[in-house]
Amino acid sequence: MDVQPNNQQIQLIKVEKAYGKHNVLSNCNVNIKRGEFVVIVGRSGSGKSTLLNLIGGLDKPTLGEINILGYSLHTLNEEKLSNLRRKYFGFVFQFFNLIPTLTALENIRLPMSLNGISKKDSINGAKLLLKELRLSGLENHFPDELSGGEQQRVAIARALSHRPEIILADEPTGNLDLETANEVLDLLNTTCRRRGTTLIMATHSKEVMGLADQIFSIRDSEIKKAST
Amino acid sequence: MNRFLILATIILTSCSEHHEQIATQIENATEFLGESVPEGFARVTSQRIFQFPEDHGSHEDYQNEWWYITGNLEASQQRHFGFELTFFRYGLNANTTPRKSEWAANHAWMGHLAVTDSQNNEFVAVERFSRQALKLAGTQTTPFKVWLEDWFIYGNKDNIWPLSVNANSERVGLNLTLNSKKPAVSHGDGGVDQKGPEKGNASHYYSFTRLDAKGTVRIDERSYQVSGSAWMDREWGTSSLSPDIAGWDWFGLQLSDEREFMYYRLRTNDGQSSPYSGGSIILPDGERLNLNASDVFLEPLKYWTSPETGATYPTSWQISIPQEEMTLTVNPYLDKQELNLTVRYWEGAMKVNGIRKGQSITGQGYTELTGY
Amino acid sequence: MNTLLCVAATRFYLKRPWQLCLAIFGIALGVAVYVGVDLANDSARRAFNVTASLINGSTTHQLVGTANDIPNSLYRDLHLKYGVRFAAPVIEDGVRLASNTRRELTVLGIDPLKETEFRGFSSFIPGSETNLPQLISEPGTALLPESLMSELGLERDDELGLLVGNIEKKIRVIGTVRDISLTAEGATAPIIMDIATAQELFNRTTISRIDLILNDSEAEDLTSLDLPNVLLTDANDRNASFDELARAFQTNLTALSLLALLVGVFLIYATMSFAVVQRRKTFGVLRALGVDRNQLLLVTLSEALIIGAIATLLGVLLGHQLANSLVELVLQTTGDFYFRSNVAPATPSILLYIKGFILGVATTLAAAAAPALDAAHTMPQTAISRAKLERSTRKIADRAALISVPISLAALVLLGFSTKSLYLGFIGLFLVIAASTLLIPTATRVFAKLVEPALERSFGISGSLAARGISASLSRTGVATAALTVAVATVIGIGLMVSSFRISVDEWLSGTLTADIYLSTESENVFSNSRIEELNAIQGVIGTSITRFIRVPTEQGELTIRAQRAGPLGWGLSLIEEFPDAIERMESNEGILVSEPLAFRQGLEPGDKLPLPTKQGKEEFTILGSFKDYNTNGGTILMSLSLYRTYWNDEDINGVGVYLDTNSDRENTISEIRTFLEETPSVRYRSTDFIQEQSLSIFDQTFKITEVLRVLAGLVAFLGLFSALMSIEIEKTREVATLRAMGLDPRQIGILTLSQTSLLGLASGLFAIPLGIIMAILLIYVINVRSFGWSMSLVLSSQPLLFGVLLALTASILAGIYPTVRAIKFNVAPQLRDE
Repeated sequence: MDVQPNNQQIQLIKVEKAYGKHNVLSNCNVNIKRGEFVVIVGRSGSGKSTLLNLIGGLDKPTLGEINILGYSLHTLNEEKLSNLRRKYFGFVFQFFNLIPTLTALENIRLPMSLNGISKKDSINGAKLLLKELRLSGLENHFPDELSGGEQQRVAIARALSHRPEIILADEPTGNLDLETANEVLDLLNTTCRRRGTTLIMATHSKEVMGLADQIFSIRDSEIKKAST
Repeated sequence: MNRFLILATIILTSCSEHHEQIATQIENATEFLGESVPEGFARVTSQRIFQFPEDHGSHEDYQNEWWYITGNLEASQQRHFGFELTFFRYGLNANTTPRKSEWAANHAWMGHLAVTDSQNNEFVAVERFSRQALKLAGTQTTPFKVWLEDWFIYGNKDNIWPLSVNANSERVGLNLTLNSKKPAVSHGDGGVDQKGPEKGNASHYYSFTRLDAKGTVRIDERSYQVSGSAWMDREWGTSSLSPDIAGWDWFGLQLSDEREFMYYRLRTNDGQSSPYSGGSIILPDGERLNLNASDVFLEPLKYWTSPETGATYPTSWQISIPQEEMTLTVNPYLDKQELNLTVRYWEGAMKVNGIRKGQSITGQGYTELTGY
Repeated sequence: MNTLLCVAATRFYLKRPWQLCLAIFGIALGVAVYVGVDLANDSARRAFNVTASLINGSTTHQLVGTANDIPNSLYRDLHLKYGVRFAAPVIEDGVRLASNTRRELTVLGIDPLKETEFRGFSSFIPGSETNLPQLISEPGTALLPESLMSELGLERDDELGLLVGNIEKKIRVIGTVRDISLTAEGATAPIIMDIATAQELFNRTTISRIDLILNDSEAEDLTSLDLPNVLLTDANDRNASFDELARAFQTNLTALSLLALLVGVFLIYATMSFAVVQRRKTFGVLRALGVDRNQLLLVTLSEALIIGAIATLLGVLLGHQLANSLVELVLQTTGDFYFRSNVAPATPSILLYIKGFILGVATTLAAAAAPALDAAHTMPQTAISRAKLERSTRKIADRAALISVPISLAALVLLGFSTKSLYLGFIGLFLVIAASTLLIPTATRVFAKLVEPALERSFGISGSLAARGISASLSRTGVATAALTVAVATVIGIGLMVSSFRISVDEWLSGTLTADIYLSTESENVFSNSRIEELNAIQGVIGTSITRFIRVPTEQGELTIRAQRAGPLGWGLSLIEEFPDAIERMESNEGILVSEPLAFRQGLEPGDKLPLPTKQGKEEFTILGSFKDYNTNGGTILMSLSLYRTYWNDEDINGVGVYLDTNSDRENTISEIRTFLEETPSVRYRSTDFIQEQSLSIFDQTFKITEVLRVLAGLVAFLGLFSALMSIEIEKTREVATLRAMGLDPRQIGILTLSQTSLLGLASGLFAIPLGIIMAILLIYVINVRSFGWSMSLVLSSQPLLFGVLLALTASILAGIYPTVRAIKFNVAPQLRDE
């Protein structure tokens, strides 16, 4: 699958999502350009994660259309969606979700390895990232041997490792103390900016909003663009 | 010829593995008979004037005895067949105390039936055994009869001739009538054929060397009207081979000049001829010339290895008898005439070419090769 | 396959070595039982074939006399008149050792000159030292089995005293034969002698039979001759009924071993689905990272393949070892049916090992297929709700419970429609098991709900939590319970079947053996009328039953005729299907009774006619009914002695039942009978108690192998449950930590853990009772009847039931101990920090 980068990298047109009778999102229109830093705010359960899942192709909208990198998601089958995620997305989760049986280095290598990057290149790439994220020396630690902040930095490194077009971060600092949270956010933001990677983050953090290009707030299933 | 041992050998080896090298069998036989010839059997020690018809029947005082018929036959379009039908009697026990059971037997019988179909390159040989009890096998003198279950030869009320020959097995069968053209001939020294230096290591041996044969030969479902010429040997005694004898080569040839030639070479372990080898030339009038070991020279011309048993036999021969100015070349109709039975040997129909006193002669007959 | 995915999977198992080991060992054991039984069966079958071919050789037909004798002249006529080419005379008869009159031996009289075509005489007479001319021509010479030679300390040319009837005769041993035996009775190989010697030994003028090699047309020709007083039997037919028994027995063993494998399959299913469930979250993340379904399927199936291959390899090796011990048991049991052989078990074909390996790996893969598909269909979500998983599991469980209804119906229909096929019987049995398995997860949930109030009352919150934990973790507990239930039910079912069978046999023996003492002989003319009168005259004897046993060849194989004049206490029969007054009608010579297995196999019903070869030619006899008979002789026909004597012209008797007066001095009477018997040493004296004891010990011997298999199935079940419960409890570490944090003390946690595992064990044990009973019913009323034609009634003895429940409980409590100790001891804080 080859994707031509265009201005409107992510488009949600009249997207609606309901679980049973419960409407989570309705009439949701979002446009995101390449390299933007987008923040999604809202209360717990307001549908932030749902929005991210929809964009990441992890979930399907009840109505409406989602275009990512020029692809209409509803036209893609499970395999092509997997392919899309593997190549162009990076995920950072609230609970880190590292693979418990892989070391820090291996977790970071995993997306590269899945994308067919050679072992040597993936090790070099991962090591660079470890250095960049100040994780040097922790290469061979398993997730349960790392602190929360370290785990999240590994997760960020994993999300960045295969140079995705888009990073989806779901409350990446939700489980971290303030200081660590700021550190992690800073890292995420600067790295994405430097690489020109689109960053879409669901968060409660007020500080982050100042850095964002666009802010969407979700309330009562309505999505509104807030001024930065 | 020395077919004595075959039966002794079979009786000994039917309890061990089949088809061992005949050499081992001979060895066993030699050991057995050489060292412990059963007490009580008569031995051939003096000359004998054969009395007929009595001597056609059994001589149960002696341990071994056989009736041995071979011949070359021709069906229409000169299609050649060879045949062999043999009855061996083997004395198990010289003690003749009567026993209660009808099955009690002091004699065992072995029969061989072989047919050679030269045109189809086919050779079939079968054997059978029986005890001499319940009239399953035996002999009688008047009228003459020898039988082994439903194989038999029998003569007329008073005379052995014409002799009916009848033997059938699953694949082949014989039904012939034989008439002798010459009287019986006694071999050796007054009917005594000495086999070795030991006293009593000898047999009584006489032959009918030229028999007219007529009848049918059956191969599988087809029967052929045949006629030709046969040869019958009779031999009995209580005897064994000397330990240094490995086997023998026997020839019984009917020549176109109305003579017959019989010679057996006893082969020593080192491949030499034993001085106890011997034979006869039967003249057209039935008179006999004695042949000693020094009178006959044998030269194998060709060898054949049996694919079934791996044994190698000299199947073509040159025979020279300088005193008769005779040289004969003997070739088999078929190489494949090995009887791979409980006792393994080669016995085959032969054709003869040669020269006697500058005249070319032809002939046919049978050759028996053992110990290979 | 992606290497990092493989690394992740490998480390997953390496971090749980006990889980891996238990799974591997469980599968290995299941495979081992299957392979072991298969190899043992094959080995026994080959040993049997070797023996049979040595004894029967290339015999295709036999000529047998209607009263065990054939005139000598017939043999000659076969050769000389009827043109039969391959015929061999045989005398087979029994003798006793003069030095030990209780020791029975078989004598085989043959014509050695005829044997080469038949038995390859050379192959059972070792060496070439045997002097065959001597054996044939010297009176009184014989060849002895090697084992008997050494047992009696005999050497070549020694003399041996034999009792023929009550006359002692000497034979001279001139050689040995290998230890091959042909009769069910003879534990020792036969003494071989020349046919003439045998005739003289037994003082007979006839032979027992003539072995023949005939092609079809020759056989037809011979049949058309209609020779008087003899019967031409097909050697294959003759053995057919025995073969059938032996085959049915082996089929039963194979089915039992498949059951063990089935439990093994459950184990791999439980292991794999557990391994998938444990990694559900990881799989969700991987899916989010772009790993597609096929990759996940490939990974999980590869795991199963590797585990299955290792375990199966181990299982095949274990099975090989197991076979060595099983084969003796199999040989022994089939020997009871047919023959006894001292032949060493044959080496099984390598193909069986390969077959076992392929079967093991294939079943592992099949069992892993569902969990693997499950893994592949993990939604690419990052936070899987456990509650959601359990909800869907519950839904699946309920649906499965519904499916079990049509499956059971199918099983019933199958069993109802086919009344003879053993294989369909087994398929029905397996369907019933399958249906029950599907029912169990839902049943477990309901059970947990039902016991919750009681538990809460007894143990407070711990008890309630334990009960809820079971239904709340159905995805983990359901399969484990099902596996354990099937295994325990198998153990119960087989146990019930064997104990019911034993009780039926015991009752049957008590009912049948009406006399107090049984006298029997294999010799002829031992019991004359005057002897029996003398016996009756002994003080304290109130009467006798007299019986003539003969074996007759029929078109349905060899059958036993039991011609009897009943004693004072009647026939002692339990009739199954009969005309009214069947026994009275039999006594008045209107017809015969047949044994139940014979009636079942031949489909004989009262009113049918059964042709039998009599001295007057083939005669048809009316069947008046069938009677219970647990003998394994292929079929018995019961008739009055007078009817037998009319048709067989045979006045001989070889069995006498003696009835004693309960009031008189028993000891004295017995000793008088003993004295009376001194004149006839060939007569065997057996008390009813002794026969009963002996028969039951033979029975136990026969079912020893069943017991072994039952224990093995139990062991597999135990391992399965142990590993499943351990996995469940260890997975709950976090939950336990939370509870500890909330203030539950270690004792409460211990109660929680232990009561949860015991509850599962109890549930399995309880479910196994009805299922076990159903299995017993099917084994008794379907499988046993179809295999052997024996009917019996189900006896619900408590021992097998208790044993099953105890097995389940013990396994579950043992399995709970380690997690309990762990739960009590563990450090709370780090477990709470994160996942």
